[in-house]
Amino acid sequence: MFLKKGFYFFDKAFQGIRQNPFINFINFGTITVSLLVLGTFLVIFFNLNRVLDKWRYESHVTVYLYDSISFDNTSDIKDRIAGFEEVERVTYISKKEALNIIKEALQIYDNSFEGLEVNPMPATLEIQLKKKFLSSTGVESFVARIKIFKEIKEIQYDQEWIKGFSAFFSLFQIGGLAIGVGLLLATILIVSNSFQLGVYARKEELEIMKLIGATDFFIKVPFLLEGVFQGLLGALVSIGLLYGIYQVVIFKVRPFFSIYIRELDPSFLPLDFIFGLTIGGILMGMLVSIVSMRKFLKSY
Amino acid sequence: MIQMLHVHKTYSNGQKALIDVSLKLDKGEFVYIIGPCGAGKTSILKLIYCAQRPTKGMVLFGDKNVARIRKSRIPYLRRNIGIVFQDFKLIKTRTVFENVALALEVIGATITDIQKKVWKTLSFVGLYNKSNEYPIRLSGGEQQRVAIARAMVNNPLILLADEPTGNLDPEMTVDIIDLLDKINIRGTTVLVATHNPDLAKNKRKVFTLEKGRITNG
Ligand SMILES: Nc1ncnc2c1ncn2[C@@H]1O[C@H](COP(=O)(O)OP(=O)(O)O)[C@@H](O)[C@H]1O
Ligand SMILES: [Mg+2]
Repeated sequence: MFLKKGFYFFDKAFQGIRQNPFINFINFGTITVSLLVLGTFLVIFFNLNRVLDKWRYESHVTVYLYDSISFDNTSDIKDRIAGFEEVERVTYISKKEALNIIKEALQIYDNSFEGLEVNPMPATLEIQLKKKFLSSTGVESFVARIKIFKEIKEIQYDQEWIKGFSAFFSLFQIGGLAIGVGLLLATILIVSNSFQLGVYARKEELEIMKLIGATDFFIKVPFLLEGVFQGLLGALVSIGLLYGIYQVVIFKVRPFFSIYIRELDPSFLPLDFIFGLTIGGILMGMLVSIVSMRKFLKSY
Repeated sequence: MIQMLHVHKTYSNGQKALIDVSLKLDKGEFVYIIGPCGAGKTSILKLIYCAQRPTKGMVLFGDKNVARIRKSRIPYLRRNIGIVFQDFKLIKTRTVFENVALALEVIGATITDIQKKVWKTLSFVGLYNKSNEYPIRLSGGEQQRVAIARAMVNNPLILLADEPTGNLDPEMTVDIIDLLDKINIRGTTVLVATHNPDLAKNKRKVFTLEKGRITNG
């Protein structure tokens, strides 16, 4: 019985689509474009977030030690720092190793540095914090606590500029969210306007149905399905388009970008975002049909 | 079965359509309401099927006061009432069969049930071979029959007919009244509203309506 009724409603919904193919196409198109714009935002935000997280997780706290401290003292301070609950790992880099690293980085394989009487590089401790302490505040409070060690000459941490960047990014995100919400509301309004044309085209029929005993539910469900169908199709097509555009852009842009950020490893939206967009499209279609019928079904 | 008690209806524009109307219909009766155009006949029918609410008074369907019925219950009330509208209210984009079937569709009848009942009803009203026609291709009398078929197809307790012979020639008029008589004989209570006094001649139960008031017993 339930199944039969379900088929009936689907049948009615498709009948409605067949009766007003143009309106349905416009609605589907509007939803598609709107979700495409929204999806583009999401891809950008998602990837910026990934980069930010990557930087954050790879960020170190670098402690420069005074040249004067002895080897014993060095391993002592290394142990003490390793004892902090935030610390995942501490790596000691001696003056000599530091010099080799810089040579390698500068791609100097000759003896340019040999002439130096003293090694200018300080010994350092590279501190990797545990993931859950890698927020700006977590890093800052850790740094404040190790500052007091007298062996430490200077502390540097990437978090300083990551913090600045994420502040800017949050602002960007809030702005994006506001634009996204505005866009969705505008879409719902626009689409429900044309959706109403479809409802009004069948106004007489619906009024007659009410007069001969149809419930509001019975009248609403096919329209609801029509809206859901528009939203679902819009979501799926916009995701497909988004993926196509993404591939083209990545293909064109990647070589250019990789000069600057070698490990920039862009990614398309993960499944839960895709799922979210699809549900968003469906909800949008439902809202559209609800808004469109609100006025209509008030009378007896 | 239906009883109106001191019913007043004043429309929102101040038009007094019904003034202190009381009437009673028993189960199985064939009742006429006659009165000139604008007397309030359609208003009485609308109060019965809840397209309007009375300003004052009670409208009883069985022992239920439909004047106070919840909006969500109205569809279920209407499933007990077959309505033949003054303007037929047939759907232009549906065939005769589909128009009649609609009354069963909206109450969730099964397809086999719909097939069986619609064919039976179409042959009862004499439109068996017009089932695939669209309403505009039919004569006034035939359209009226479709409207009657749709009103009776789910076996309502009562049939309301608003000016069922309004646009018909005398010959057709007789046919339609005969058809309504046949429906009444099968056990359905029938209420006909008409401006034509000839129809109500020699009939057992007639209410005369003038300017919103009932002027006979
Ligand atoms: N919806 C309405 N709003 C305002 N006035 C109405 C409405 N419906 C009917 N009337 C008025 O109420 C009176 C009775 O109308 P109606 O019941 O249609 O009479 P009848 O069916 O006997 O011709 C008329 O004067 C008509 O103009
Ligand atoms: Mg009338």
